[in-house]
This record gives sequence, structure tokens and C-alpha cells, in this order.
Amino acid sequence: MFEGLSALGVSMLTFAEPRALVYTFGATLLGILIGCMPGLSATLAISLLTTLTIKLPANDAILILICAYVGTIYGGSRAAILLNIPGTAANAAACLDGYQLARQGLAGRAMGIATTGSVAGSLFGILCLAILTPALGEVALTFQSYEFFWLALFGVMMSGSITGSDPLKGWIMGMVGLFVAQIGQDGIHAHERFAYGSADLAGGLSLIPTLVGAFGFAEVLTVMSERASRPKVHAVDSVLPRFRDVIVYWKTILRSGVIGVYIGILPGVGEDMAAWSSYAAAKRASKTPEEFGKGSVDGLIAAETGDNASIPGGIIPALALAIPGSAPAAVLLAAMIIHGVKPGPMLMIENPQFVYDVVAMNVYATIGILFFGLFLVRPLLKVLTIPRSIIMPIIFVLCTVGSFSIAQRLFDVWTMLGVGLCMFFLRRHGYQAAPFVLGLVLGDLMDKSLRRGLVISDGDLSPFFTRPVCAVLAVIVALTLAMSFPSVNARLRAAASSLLGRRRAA
Amino acid sequence: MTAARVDRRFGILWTAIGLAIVVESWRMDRLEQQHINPWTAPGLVPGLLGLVIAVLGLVLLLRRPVAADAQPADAQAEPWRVGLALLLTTGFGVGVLGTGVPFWLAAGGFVFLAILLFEWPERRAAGTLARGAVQAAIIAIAAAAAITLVFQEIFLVRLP
Repeated sequence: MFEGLSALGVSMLTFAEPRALVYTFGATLLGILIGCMPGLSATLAISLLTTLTIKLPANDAILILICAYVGTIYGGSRAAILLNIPGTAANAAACLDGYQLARQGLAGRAMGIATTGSVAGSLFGILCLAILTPALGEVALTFQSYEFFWLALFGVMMSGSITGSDPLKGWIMGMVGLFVAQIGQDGIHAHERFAYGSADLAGGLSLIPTLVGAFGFAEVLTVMSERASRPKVHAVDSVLPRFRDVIVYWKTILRSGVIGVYIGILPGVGEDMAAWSSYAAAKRASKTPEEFGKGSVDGLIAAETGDNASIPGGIIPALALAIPGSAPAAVLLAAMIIHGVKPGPMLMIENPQFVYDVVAMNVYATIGILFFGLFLVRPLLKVLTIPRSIIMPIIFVLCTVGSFSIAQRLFDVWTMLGVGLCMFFLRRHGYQAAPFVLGLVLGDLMDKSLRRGLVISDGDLSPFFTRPVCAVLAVIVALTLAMSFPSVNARLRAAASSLLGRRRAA
Repeated sequence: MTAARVDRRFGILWTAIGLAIVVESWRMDRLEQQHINPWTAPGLVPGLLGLVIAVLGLVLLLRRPVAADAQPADAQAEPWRVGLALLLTTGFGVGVLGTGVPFWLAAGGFVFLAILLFEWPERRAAGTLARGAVQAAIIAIAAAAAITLVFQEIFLVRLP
């Protein structure tokens, strides 16, 4: 324990120097600005910044990406409160009560509450990040190919089930993502798959251009396709967060923090689900649930605490297992790999200080959002009034530059265009990008784990089902699949309720 | 077209894609001449994934329409805007980049055209077309200069 605290102290001091502080505040501000603009997601922000920071040392680059990540999710609450349009998907739940408070002339108070919730959620998540990552890493040291195969499949299935309204479409996107990851040289024999003589395809589809296409170009096309109106911003009163809110709503903060971290840890389930789940839990627990949706402070705190707590939560499995907890965490994971960091079970052995560096980066990012939440509210509001017809063409140019800059090949720009076009049309028919991205990130791990596992067991499938962790994951995957069938779902629920009824009666 | 009909078409598409992947994976070299373990054949995982995609496509094709599918697909999009967005972005990405046109010029031209054309109906209705053109030009020049400067000069990243 004391070793951990000492390592964290070293990390905190490492980033307490002028250059790192400039990066911290610059990237947090940039993240808040991006979050303020509806249509620009945290995934896009991190993807573009990964390309911009490619020449920087690893710690500086990851610091910038984490600060931008935290800033974007926080910044999205501004648009939610003042425009009733979530800046990012994570802030949709904040619209319900944030906008109602703004309509009552309490926009500043709502932003103060959002700042309180975001900071409290981040700090709770950071505490969990510091405690759980080393513990999970230690458990993961016992994992073999069998467990990693199931973890990869579990991540894609969970992401497909939870993001979007139709699990079947989510699973299709996840499987397509896993398949796209197979294009290029395979990870065991370096044999070219689906390359058809093309040197570019033999190298595989690069992750960052694909992500920029799925989250950036597709969003640019979506926004450009819609008629835009100039937004009206509500007047703002005092934005100072109140310490009293933390005391009065401590139960909501703690509950939302736990939910946020838990959902963050689940592979591929992002901040938006954390915010909605926290909001729903707060409504259920509230003595005045009728106030939810009409300007409830409790509701707004729950939503903002939940989504911010899920940021460190999503980083926990990314560091300990190399399995990202959300789409932005997937890009962060890719950026770490690009910069030579090897996330996974061996990280706590090979480079334990890096885990505490990430904890410290999150702490500084939280200080950044608190600073800008207190002192830079009014100038930031001007960003909300910039028409999207001006922003989106510039974002598209950044998408092309970002895609090109990783390997300096035009093929990556075409990849970004191709993936973005497909995603634009697929999104219009209810297909989500998050499971695709998770599949893309986990495809290599799943491929190698399955084949290595089969080699170790000499083709025997039983270890994939009999090892304890494998058995649990296999049951969860099977239940997730089964529950998507309404008849099975109804029977399972009936069985569960009758079982509970019998226990109560006993 | 109803959402259920779109789903059925997508079901056919996914099934076809899945089966094509299975066929290509089956035809893939199994590296027998290198005496590798047959369980590590490169086509194993893609083939399984193709099979799963085909099965999921079949389920999509054959299932009854679900409640979520009743919603119309993105009703806010205007067809001319979709077409223009596709034309401008693919024109810039495929037609201009890599052809020798300096990046700052291509980027500036793209930003200028995109802002001008997408604001055209509102500007024309308000009688401020000339003002809109000047504003678009200023933003385009500033954006092209800033992107070139930040990426190329400050962060030393090569531009397309």
C-alpha cells in the first residue's frame, strides 16, 4: 500500500512542472471546447489528438489525451444545460434536469452542480483506478489464452447488447469489427489475409484512421446533412459550485460513482450508459422522484457524477487487461501501444509506475475541469453559438490530416473515408459504431487467444468452458445471447422472480 | 421504405458478406507445407467470424420486426445536403489530396466551398450572400493557415 502511495507521489510530482501543466490545462480546455460543440465526441477528440501528439514523449502524449478525454465529457454538460443538446452522448441524461434548471433562470447553478458532480465522480473513479488496477492486474496474471478469448468475446457481446436499442445489430457490428481486424498479416504466422496482393491491405486497416472515420467523418456527414439553426443560449447566473451540494447529495454521489466505475469497467460500455444508469438509480432512490425531469438537482448530480466516474473506470481494464472499457478508452489504449507502452497483465510488473502516472494524469485533468468550471464559464459559452456549418468542414480537414499523419500514406485517408461512409449509412439504420470499434481493437487478441488456446489443448475445447473464469464468462455470454430472445427473456425473469418469491416465503 | 424492409435487405447483405468470408477463409492457404499446427491456420478465426455474421444476418432477415425498428431512419437529413456533403468530402479526400495540389490550398478551398454552399439557402433568403462569401473566405484562410502551422511547423507532422 505504502509503495503505491509513494509511486503516486512520484507521479504527482512528475507532472507538477511548467511544461506538463501547460499541456494539462491546454488539453483540458481544448477538450471542454470540443465537448461544448454538439456532434464532436470524446473518441474523435482523442483520435485526432493522438495523431497530433505522435512525436511527443509517451507521458506527455498520454497526459494530453487523458486531459482532453475528461475535458470533453465535462464540456458536453454545457451544451446539455444551455441548449438542451448533449455535447457528447454521455451528457444526454444531463439535458433532462440541466435544461429545466436553465429555463428556470438557474443555468449558472446547473453548471455549478455539473462541475460538482463531475469533479466528485472523477475523484471517486480515480480512487478506484488506483486501487483496482493493480489488483485486477494481479488476478489477470493467472489468465491464459482461454480467458483472454472469452474476455474479448464478452467485451464485444456486452457492447453490442447495451449500446443502441437493438442487440442483434450491435452484435453484427461487433463481429464485423472483429473481422476487419483480421485483414492484413495474422499475428502468429504473419500470413497475409484478405489482402489480394495489395501492399496497403497487407499492412491491415490502421486503427486510428478507422476510428476517425467511424466517429469523426460519419458525424461530420450526419451534421452536414441536417439543417442547422443558430442556437439560443440561456442567461447565466452564478456558476460557483457549492460545497453544500456534496454534503446534501453525498449518497447520490457515492451511488453514482460506484455505478459509473462499474459500467466503465464493463468492456465497451461507455459513459452514456453510466450517466443513464446513475440517473435511473437516483430516481428510484429519491423521495421526490416526480421532480426528476423538471429541474432536479439530484438528477443532474447523478448523471454528471456517473459519466465522469466511468472515465477512470473505463481505463482500469484497458491498463490491467488491455481490454478497453469504452470507445474513447479504446483509442487511448491504441495511443498507449503506439507510444510503446504495453497495457495488459504484465504492465504492473514491467512498468508499474505508468499506472500511477495515469492516476496522476486523471487527478490533474480533474483539477483542470474544476479550474475552467470556476473561472472560464462565460467565454466558453461563446463556443456554443458558433454555427456547425463552420465547424464541421474544419473538423473534416482535421480528420484527413489526422488519418494521414500516422503513417504518411494516402491509403489511411481512403480508409477513413470508406469507414466513415459505411458508418454514416449504417447509423441511419440503427447500427452503432461502439461495438465495431471494440471488435476492431479486440480482434487481434481474440484471434491469437483462440488459436493459441487450441494449440495448447491440442484441439480440445473443454478448457474454454471448464476453467473457472472461462465458465463464468461463457455463462454470461450465453445468457446475454439468450435474453435477447423475448420468449427466453420472459421465462428467465419469471423463473428468477418465482425463485425470489420462494425465498421470501421461506 | 419501412424499417422492417430495410432490415430484411440488410439481413441478406450480412448473410452474403458472412458467407463470402467463410468461402474466402476456406480457400486461404493452410500452410501445410510449413507443417504448422492445423489449429493455427490463418483462416480459422475469420471463417468462424464469417459464419457468425451469416447466422446473425439470417436472424435479422427472418425475425419479426421489433419495436425499435418502427422508428424512421434519420428524418432530419435533407437529401441535397447529404449529396453535397458526400460530393465535397469524397471530392476533397479522393480527388484533390495526393494530386500535387498544396495542402493549404486544397483545405482552404474545401472549407470555403463547404461553408458557402451549406449556408447558401439561409444567406440567399436573408440577402447576405456576398457577406457570407467574404466570411467563408476569411474562415477558410484562417483555418488552412492554422492547421498547416500547428501540424507542420509546431508538431512536425507531415501533411497529405
